[in-house]
Amino acid sequence: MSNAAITSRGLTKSYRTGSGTPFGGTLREAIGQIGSRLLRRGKREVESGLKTGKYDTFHALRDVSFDIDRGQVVGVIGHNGAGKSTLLKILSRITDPTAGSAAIHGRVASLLEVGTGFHSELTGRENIYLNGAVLGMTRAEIRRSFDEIVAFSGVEAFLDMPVKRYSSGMAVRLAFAVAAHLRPEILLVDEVLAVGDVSFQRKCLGKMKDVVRDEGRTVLFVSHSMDSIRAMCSQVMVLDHGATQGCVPVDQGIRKYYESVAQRSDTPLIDRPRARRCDHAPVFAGLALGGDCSPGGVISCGGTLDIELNLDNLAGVTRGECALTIRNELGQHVVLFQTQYHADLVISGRRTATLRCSIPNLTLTPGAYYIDLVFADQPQMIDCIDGAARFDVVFADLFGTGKIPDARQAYVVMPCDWKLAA
Amino acid sequence: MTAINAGCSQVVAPEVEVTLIQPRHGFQRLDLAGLWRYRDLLWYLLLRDVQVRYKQTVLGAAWAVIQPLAMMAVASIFFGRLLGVAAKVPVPYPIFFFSGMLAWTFFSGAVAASSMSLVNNAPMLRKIYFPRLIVPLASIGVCAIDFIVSAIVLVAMMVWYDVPVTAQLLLIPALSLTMLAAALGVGLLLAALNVAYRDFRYVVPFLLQLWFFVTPVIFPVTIVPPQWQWLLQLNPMGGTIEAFRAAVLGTPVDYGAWMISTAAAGVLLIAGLLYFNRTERQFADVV
Repeated sequence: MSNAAITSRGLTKSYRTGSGTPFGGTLREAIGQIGSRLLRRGKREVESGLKTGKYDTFHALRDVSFDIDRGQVVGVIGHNGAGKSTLLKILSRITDPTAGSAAIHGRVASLLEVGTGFHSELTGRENIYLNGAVLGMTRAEIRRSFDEIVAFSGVEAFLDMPVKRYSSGMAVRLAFAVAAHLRPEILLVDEVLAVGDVSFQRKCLGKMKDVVRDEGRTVLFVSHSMDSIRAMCSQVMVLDHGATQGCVPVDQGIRKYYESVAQRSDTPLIDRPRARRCDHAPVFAGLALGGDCSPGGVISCGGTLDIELNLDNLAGVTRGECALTIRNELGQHVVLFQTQYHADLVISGRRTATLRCSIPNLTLTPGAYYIDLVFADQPQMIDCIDGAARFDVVFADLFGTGKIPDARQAYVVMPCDWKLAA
Repeated sequence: MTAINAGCSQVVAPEVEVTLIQPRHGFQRLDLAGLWRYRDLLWYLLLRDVQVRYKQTVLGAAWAVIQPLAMMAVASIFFGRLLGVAAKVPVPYPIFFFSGMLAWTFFSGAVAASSMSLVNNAPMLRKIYFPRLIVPLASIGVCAIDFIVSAIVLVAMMVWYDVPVTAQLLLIPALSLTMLAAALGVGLLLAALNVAYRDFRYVVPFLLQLWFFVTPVIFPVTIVPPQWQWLLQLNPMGGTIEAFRAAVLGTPVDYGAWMISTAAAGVLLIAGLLYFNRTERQFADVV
C-alpha cells in the first residue's frame, strides 16, 4: 500500500485582478456578457479577452508538487503573499485550484483561524458545540471531548457567560482548546499560534506535538516562527512567490528561505515582500551596512558593524520601536538589538527617520548571517522583513593563535583567560 | 477510526477515504452525502441563529408572536375597515389576514435571511470547508421555526373564531413544501448573486415589497379581474397562499392554481440550485 497522506501535482491558483469582481467582472459587465452570449455566442470573445491580457492574472500558486507521507509534520514557510494560506485553502477544499490536482488520503480538518464561527453573544458552552461543528466534529465527538476541552482552556468558571464578556485571551484559549481536540487523520494548521500569550502558545505547541507523536497524525503547519518549525516539524516546504521545490529537511529549508529573501537584496527594502501581513504602509525603506563591513557585506570577526535604517510612513506613530535581530543560517536568533532595550529610544511624531545602530566588536562565529527587522507602534507590529540584509563574518585571528571557534561549534566568540592552574 | 489506527499502525491498511482536489468545471452532482455528513453543523448554525436572536431580550421568543399579531391589528383596521376589503372576504378579516400573513412572513423572511446568509457568514466561508448549501438552509430553518411558533397563534385564533376543522388541514404540510421550494429557490439565487454583487443587498427588500403586493395576502384573489388571475398564479406564492388560507379556513381550495404556483416554485428551485451549484466553488474567493 502507499503510505502517502497528501500528493500534489502541479497545483496552480490564479486570481484575476484589476477589472471588477469575479463571476465575470462587475454586474454591468456580467449583464453585458450574458447579453452578448445570448445574441452572438460571445463566449469566445470573453475568452480571447482573457488571453490578450484584458485582465491581469495574479498567480498565488504556480505548479506546486509535493508528497507528504503519513505521520509526517511538515512546516510551510515563505514570505507574506508567498501562497501559504492559499495552499492550505486548496487542500482543505475551501477554494478550487485553477489547474493541477491533489489527492488526500484520510479525513482532513483545517484550522486556518482560531475561533472561526465563534459568536460573541453565545456562552462558552454553546460556542464549544458550535465551533466544534464548524470544524467538522460530530455532536457525539464534541460531547466526548467536552470535559477535556473545558479543562484545557481553563475557563470552567465562565462556561455559561456570553463570550463577549470574556477577555480576548480567554476567548482565544477556549477556541484553541476546541481546535486542539480535533481528531482528523490530516490536520492543516495556518499560523494560528501567533495569537494568545506565550505560555498558552507553548501549551498548544506541546499539545500538538503529543497528538502527532501518540496518534501518528499528518500535519501541515504554516508558521513564521522558525523555532516552532524546528520544534514541530520533520520537513519543511518553502514557498517563494507561489512556487516550491517540495519538502526538504528542516535546516535546508530554513536556509533556503533566508537565501530566497536575501536574493532580493537589489530590490529596495520598501518594495520587498513582508514576512507577515501588516496592515500599515511599509516603514522600512532602506538599509545600509557600514563600519568595518565591506560593501559586499563581509566583516571580520570582532569588527564594528554599522547598520543604517531609513524609515518612512511614520506619520501617526506614537510609540515606535525598532527591533533588529541577527539570525544565523539555521534561522536561530543569535542576538537582538532593540531601540527601547538598548537606548530607551522611542520614535514618535515624525514622518521619516534615519536610525543608526552601531555594534562594536561583533564577535559572531564565522558564517552567514541575516538581519530581520520588526517595527512596532506598541503594542501593534506595523512592519517586518525577514532577511533584510545578509552579511558574512569571516575569520580574524582574535587571539593570535590562528584559531577561533566556527559556526558549527558556537554562536559567538568571546575572549577569556585560560591558565594551567596546577 | 482512531482505534484502528492505534491498534495496528501500518500493518493493515485501514479504509482511508481519498479526496481528490482538482479544478471543477460546469455543474456538479448535488452532494447529498456531504450534506448528510455535515448535518450537525446545519443543526448548530440553526441553533445559533435561534439562540442569538432573543439573547438580551426580555420578551424572548414572544416577539415571534407579537409582531404578526400587531401587524394583524393594524391591517384589520386599515385594510379591513377603512379600505373595505373585509366586505369582500367571506370570513372574519383578522383570521383571513393572519393566515395569509403567516405564510407570507415565512416566505419573505426565508428569502431575506437566506439571501444575506452567505455574506453574513463570509468569515466562515473563507476559512472553513463545508457544503455551502448548509448556510442558506440553516437560515431558512430559523424562519421555519418562527412559522411553527406563529402557527400556534393561528390555532388559537381558529378556536376563537370557531373555524370548522376540516380534512383540508392535512394539505398544510404539502403547501409548506411548495413555500419552502419557492423560498429556497429564490433564496439560493439571491444568496449566490449577493456574494458577487452586493447590489442585491438593496434589491432584496425592495423586491420583497413589490412581491407582497402581487401576492394575495391583504386582499383575496377574487378582487383581481378573472382574466388576470392566471398571472397571480404564476407567482409561486400566489396560488399557494390562497390554497393555504382555504385549507386553514375550510373554504374551497383551488387546486389548479396551487399546482401552477408549485410548478413555478419548482422552476425557481431548479434555477436557484443550478446557479448556486455553478458559483459555489468561487464563494470563498469572492465573498
